[in-house]
Amino acid sequence: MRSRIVVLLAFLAVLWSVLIGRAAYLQLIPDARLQGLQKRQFDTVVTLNARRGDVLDRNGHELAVSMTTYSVFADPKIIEDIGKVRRILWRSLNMNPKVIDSLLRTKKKRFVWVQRHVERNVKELIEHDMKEAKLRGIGFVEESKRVYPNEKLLAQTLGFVGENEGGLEGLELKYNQELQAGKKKISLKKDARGRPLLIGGQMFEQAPDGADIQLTIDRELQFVLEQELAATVQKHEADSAVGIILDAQTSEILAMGSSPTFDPNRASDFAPDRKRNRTVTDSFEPGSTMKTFIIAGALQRKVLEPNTIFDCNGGQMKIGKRTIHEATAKEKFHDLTATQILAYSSNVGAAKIAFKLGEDRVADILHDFGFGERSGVDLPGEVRGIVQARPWSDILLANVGFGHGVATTPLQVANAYAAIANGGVLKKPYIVKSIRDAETGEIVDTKPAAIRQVMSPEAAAKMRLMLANVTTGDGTGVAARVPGYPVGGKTGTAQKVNPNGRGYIKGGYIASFAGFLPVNDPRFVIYIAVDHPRKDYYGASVAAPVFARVAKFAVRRAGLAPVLITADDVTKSADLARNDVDPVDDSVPQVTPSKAAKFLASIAPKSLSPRILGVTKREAPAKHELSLDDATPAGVAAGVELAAVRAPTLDAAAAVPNLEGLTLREVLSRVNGTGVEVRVHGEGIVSKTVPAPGASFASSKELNVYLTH
Amino acid sequence: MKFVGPFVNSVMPDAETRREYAPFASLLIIVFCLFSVVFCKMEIRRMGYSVLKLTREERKMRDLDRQQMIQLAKITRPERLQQVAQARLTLKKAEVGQIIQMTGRGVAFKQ
Repeated sequence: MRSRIVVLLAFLAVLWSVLIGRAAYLQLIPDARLQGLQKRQFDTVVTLNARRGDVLDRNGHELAVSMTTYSVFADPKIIEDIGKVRRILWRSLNMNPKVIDSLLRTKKKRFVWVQRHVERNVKELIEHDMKEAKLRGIGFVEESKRVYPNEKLLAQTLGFVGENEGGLEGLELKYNQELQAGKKKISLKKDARGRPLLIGGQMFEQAPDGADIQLTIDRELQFVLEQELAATVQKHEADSAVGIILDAQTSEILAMGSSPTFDPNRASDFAPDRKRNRTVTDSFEPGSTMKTFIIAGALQRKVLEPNTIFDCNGGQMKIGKRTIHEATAKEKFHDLTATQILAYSSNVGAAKIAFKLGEDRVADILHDFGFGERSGVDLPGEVRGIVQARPWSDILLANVGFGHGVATTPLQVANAYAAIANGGVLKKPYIVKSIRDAETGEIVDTKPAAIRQVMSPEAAAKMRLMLANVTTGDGTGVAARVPGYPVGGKTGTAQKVNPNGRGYIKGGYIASFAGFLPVNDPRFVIYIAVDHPRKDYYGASVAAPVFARVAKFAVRRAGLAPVLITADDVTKSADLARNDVDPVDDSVPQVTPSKAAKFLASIAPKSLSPRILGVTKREAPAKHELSLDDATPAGVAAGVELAAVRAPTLDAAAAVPNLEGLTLREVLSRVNGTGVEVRVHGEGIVSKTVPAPGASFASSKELNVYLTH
Repeated sequence: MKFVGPFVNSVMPDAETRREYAPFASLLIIVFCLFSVVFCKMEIRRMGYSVLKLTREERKMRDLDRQQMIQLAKITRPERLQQVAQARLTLKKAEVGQIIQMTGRGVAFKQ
C-alpha cells in the first residue's frame, strides 16, 4: 500500500515537473514561431494622419482647408440583417435605398465602399444605431477631405486635389510638397479588445501638419473681379474673359481669374478648359496694349519725345504688298504726336515708331519688358509667349509695333505695365505671400524681387503722363476713367488668331484694356481681356468699362483719397513738357484749336480757363514760356502744342471771375494794373471771394480773397 | 521603520513567537510587493486607456472646431453675403453716381 502511494506521488511529481519545465521553457527560451504569434496578437501599427496645410488670402480668410471625414464601408459577408442595416444607412446617409441594397448584397466581397467622406456626427449616428440594433458589418476609415469654402472663387489659381489629397492643379500642385501632411506610423502593443496600450510612457504624438500658405490675393477684390468678368462674358456673349490685378509697386498678385470657371469641390463635373489658369497658360496677340511698350522703349532710347510728330499718312501705310490701316476706316490721321498715337491708338503711327527703332531695338524692348520669357511666377503651367526669331520682315516689324505677330500672356502684359507704373523696374510677380511651418511656427515671407531696370524713372514718369491722356479728352480709353483718380492705360482690340489654320478669325477679336491708377502714385495695375465678344468688340467699349468698375472698387477698398490736381501738379507737368527737346520732325503740329481746347477743358481744374490764342501753321514752333502766371493746364505735358495760353485777367469793369484754387501770386499777377484792390484773408489757395464769381465789382473796386490750406 | 519595531513588539512580545512567525511575515511582504507591482502596472494600463480616451476626445474637439471654422468660412463667403443682401435684405448694387467719395477738403466725387 505504502509503495503504491510512493509510486503515485512520484508519478504526480514527474507530471508536475514536466508541466513546470514546459512552462519555464515556453516563458524563458526564445522561439521564433511563438514570437511571431505573439507579435500578431499583441502588436499593432497605428497611422497618425495629419492635416494638409491651409491656403489663406492676404487677410487670413480661408481659401482651401482640410477636414477629417469618415468613409463608410461594409463587409457584406458578416451582415446578418440586410434590411435593418439598409434602413440605418439610408436614414443617415441620404442615399438611394436600392443602391445601398445592391452594395450590401455583394456577398462575395469582404469590403465595399458605401459612401466616402461623411462627417463625424453622421458616423457617430450610424455607430450608435448599429450598436443599439446589435448589428455588425459596417466600419469606418478616417480620411481627410479638402474643402474650398468659397466654391468657385479663385478656383483656377487654387487648383484641386485628387482622392488621396495630392495636388493635381494650380497651387495645390505647385506647393504640394509644402502643403502635404506627414503620415506618422507608430508601433504599439494592443490589448485583447484591440485597444492600443501606452507602455513605458509612450505618448501619442501628432504627425506634423502641412505648412499653411498665405497668398497675396485679396478675397474681396477677387470676388469683384470675377463677378465683372462673368457679367461681361454674358453681356457681350464672349467665349471667355480674363482679368488680373497687381500691386503696382511690388507686382504682388492681388486678384487673378477668368470666366467661365469651375467649383473645385466638384472638379470632375467640369470640362478641362474651365480649369485652366488662363492668365498664365494662355498667350495671344495683345493688340494695341503693346504700343505702350514700343513707345516706352523709344522714349527710353531717346528716339522720340512725347510731342514728337509722326505723319500717319491719312490712316494707311503700304508695306510691300500689304497695307496697314487704322482700327476703323473713318480714322484718317495725319500728323500726330507720340502721345496722340497712344491716345488715338494709331496703328500707322505705331508702325512708324517701330520702323524708326528697327527690329533689333524692338526685340530688345520686348525682352526688356519680359515678353517671350516666363515671368517666374509661382504658378504651374506658365507659358513663355511668342516673340519670333529674327530676322523679321518689314510687315512683321510693323505688326509688332501695334501688338500683332507676338503672343503674350495676360500676366506678362500686366507686369510690364507695372514696370512703367513703379518707375521703370520690371519685378517678378508672385502670389504666395508667406509659408508657415505648422510644427515650428516659422514663417517664410516672400519679398518683391526686381528683375531689371527697363526704364529710367524720368522716362517712366513721362510714359505715365502719356498714358493718362488715353483716358482723357478724345482718347480711346475714356470709358476707363475713375472720377477722382487719374487713370493711365491703353485699350486693345486685337484680331484673334485662327487656332485651326492660318490667319485670323473673321470678326473675331480680343478686346482688352491695361492700365494703372492713380497716375500720380500708382497703386493698382489692372488688365482685362475679353475673348471673342460678339456684341461689340472694341477694347474701349468692352474692356475699359470693366477696368473702371473694378478699379473703383479697388481704390475704395484701399481707402485711397481722391486726387485733386493743384497748381503744383500743373507746374510739375509743365516743367516736364518744357524740358522736352524740340520735335525731331520738322513738321508743325496740326492741332486744331477746338480739339486742343476740348482736350484741355477735360483735364484742367475748373479754376483754370485757358484760351488758345492761335496755332502756328507750317513754321518753326515757337518756344513757350510756361509759368504759374500762364496757368498752364496739365495737358501741356502730354505734348499738345499751344501757341500761347493766357488765363483770364481781372478787369474792374467786368464781372468777378472764378479764382477758386489759385495761389495768391496768381491772383496778384492778374490784379496788377487793373485798378482792383485785393484784400487778403488767411493763407493757402483761394477758397472764396467776395464779391462771389459772376458778380460785378462794387464801386470801391475791392476784392476780398479768402485763402485756406 | 521606527513604528514597525514597536508595533511588532506589541503584537508579538515574545522573541520566540517572533521567530516562529518571521518566515510567514517575509512571505507576506514578498506577496504584498508582488501585488503592488501588479497593481501599479494595472494602474499604468488604466491611465493609458484614460489618456487614449482623452486623446480621442481632444481630437474630436479639434475636428469639431475645424468643422465650425469651415462652416463659418462658407457662411461668410462674398457670394453668399451678396445673395443674402439682395434676396433677404433687398439691397441693390450701387449704381453710377450713388457712391460719393469725400476728400479732406470736402470736395465730393461721384462714382
